[in-house]
Amino acid sequence: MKNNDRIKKKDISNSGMIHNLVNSNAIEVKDLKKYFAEKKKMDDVKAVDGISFHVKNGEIFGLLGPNGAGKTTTINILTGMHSPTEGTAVVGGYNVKTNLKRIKEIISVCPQEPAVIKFLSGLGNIKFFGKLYLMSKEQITERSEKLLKLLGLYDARKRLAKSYSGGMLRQLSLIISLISEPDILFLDEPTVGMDPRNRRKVWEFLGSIKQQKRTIILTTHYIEEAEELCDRVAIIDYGKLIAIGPPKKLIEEHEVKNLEEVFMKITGRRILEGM
Amino acid sequence: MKVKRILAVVKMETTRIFAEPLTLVFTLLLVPVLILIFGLTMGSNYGWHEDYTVFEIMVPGLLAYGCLLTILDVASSVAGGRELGLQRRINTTPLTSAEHIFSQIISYTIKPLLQLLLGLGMALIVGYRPANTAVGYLLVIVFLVILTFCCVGLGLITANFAKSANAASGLAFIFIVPQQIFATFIPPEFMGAGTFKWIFPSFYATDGLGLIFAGTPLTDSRIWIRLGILFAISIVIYVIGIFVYEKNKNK
Ligand SMILES: Nc1ncnc2c1ncn2[C@@H]1O[C@H](COP(=O)(O)OP(=O)(O)O)[C@@H](O)[C@H]1O
Ligand SMILES: [Mg+2]
Repeated sequence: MKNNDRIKKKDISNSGMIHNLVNSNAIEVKDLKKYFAEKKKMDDVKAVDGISFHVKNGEIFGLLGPNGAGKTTTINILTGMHSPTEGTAVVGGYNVKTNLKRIKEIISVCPQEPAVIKFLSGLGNIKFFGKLYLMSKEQITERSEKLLKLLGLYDARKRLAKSYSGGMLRQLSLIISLISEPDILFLDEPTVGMDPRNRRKVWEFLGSIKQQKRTIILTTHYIEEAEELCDRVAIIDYGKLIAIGPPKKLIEEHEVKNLEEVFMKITGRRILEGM
Repeated sequence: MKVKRILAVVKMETTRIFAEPLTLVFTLLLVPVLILIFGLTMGSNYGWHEDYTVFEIMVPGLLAYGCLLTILDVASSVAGGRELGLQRRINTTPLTSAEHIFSQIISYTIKPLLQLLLGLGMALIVGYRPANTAVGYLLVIVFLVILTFCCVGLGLITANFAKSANAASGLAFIFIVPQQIFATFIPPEFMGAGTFKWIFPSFYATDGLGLIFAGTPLTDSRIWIRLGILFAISIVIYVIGIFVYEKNKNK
């Protein structure tokens, strides 16, 4: 493990504790590019095309953009699923290229598709993932009970996940990503396909997490979600960053009413166009 | 390597046996049921050989067949995990590749071993009386564990070509059926393809088991040559399997 990969991190070896990242950013991305080679096309698909941003500790940071903008690809690079074509990405002080193992211990990902184990119960899923983070039985029980109750899944916890509705699967998937109390949480379109009531519940819940000083990076194509939840948003389009800042500030700067109009003013298109 | 993580994956994978009816049938029950049926119908039929009943000749191949079904199990589980994004999600946790692969080997070996025990038990119940010793049984297990390894490799290779669990189950039979026909419980002589059997790993297991069950002294070189060849083929296939698995695990 190379020590110089680590940027200003006071090491607290007591795992499970929120790491002390005072004076440093949770995430630093510089000139990041990801090109996918397409067999049938001459040109590569430029999924992420040279974006730079940073996320502060304890911040809820949004990646807002239409379908295909490159949000998931960005998250996939930050979580080690894809290696970048060019550029650097540092997560929790560790470089994704050289120190992925460390990164995996402090992050958690709630993927775009509600990836849960269908033949296990809701609780069974939570326990399985908790064990992968080497949590004790007591830790898992205590924390899962709290999360299940908060997200209204407690009564269904013993049912097999395959009997869950789409919305319930998403909620379970969210709980799984929270069980390990990650320092940095990645949420890829966390409320897609949820009814308005459950969406509101998740928003309230994510707002309450904020007080725990956890860094959250979430992607969304819902303007409301970005405006309501995020301290700052990066608007991306065709793999490029077209605006970044606190939602209010972006709206003021562009003299418009909401983020949708910010996007429209810059690109001439609507975010939800073609959905 | 952390034991806790390995146990978590093994527990999850073994839960799968009882959670999905198809897995239960293919990984535990098919061979015992076939043995029951063949035992009852051909236990006194000497049509193939004057000293052994058709059933007795079939038993080693039936046991090897149980291992072949591992291909189906591995392929559908790996392709299914990829289809749901589960594989990728697990890859974002601290579970290492080494831990993941090791725990999968354990879980994928437990199932054919359980099926082997059930199959052998059933064979003894319906009157099969092999002439081997206790050490012989141990060697039988060694043969089948190695064949299982080989099948884990074939399953991983199959999963590489399949987009979904269903497609993987279908594809798995490309590896299963020829081996089943030419090199397990159906005597190749009957298919007029005796020369083919040498290319199939399952032949070496079936034939080795046949020799052991027939009471061949365990010092007989034929047994060990079969074990050696099976081992060599299995290692190669297994390494290829792990290679394609690693290459595609974030897809
Ligand atoms: N594995 C891949 N191979 C080829 N192209 C891909 C791959 N993943 C994503 N893309 C392409 O990259 C672009 C960005 O995709 P994605 O990051 O999923 O967008 P978003 O999450 O913002 O909807 C899309 O044009 C998509 O088709
Ligand atoms: Mg996406």
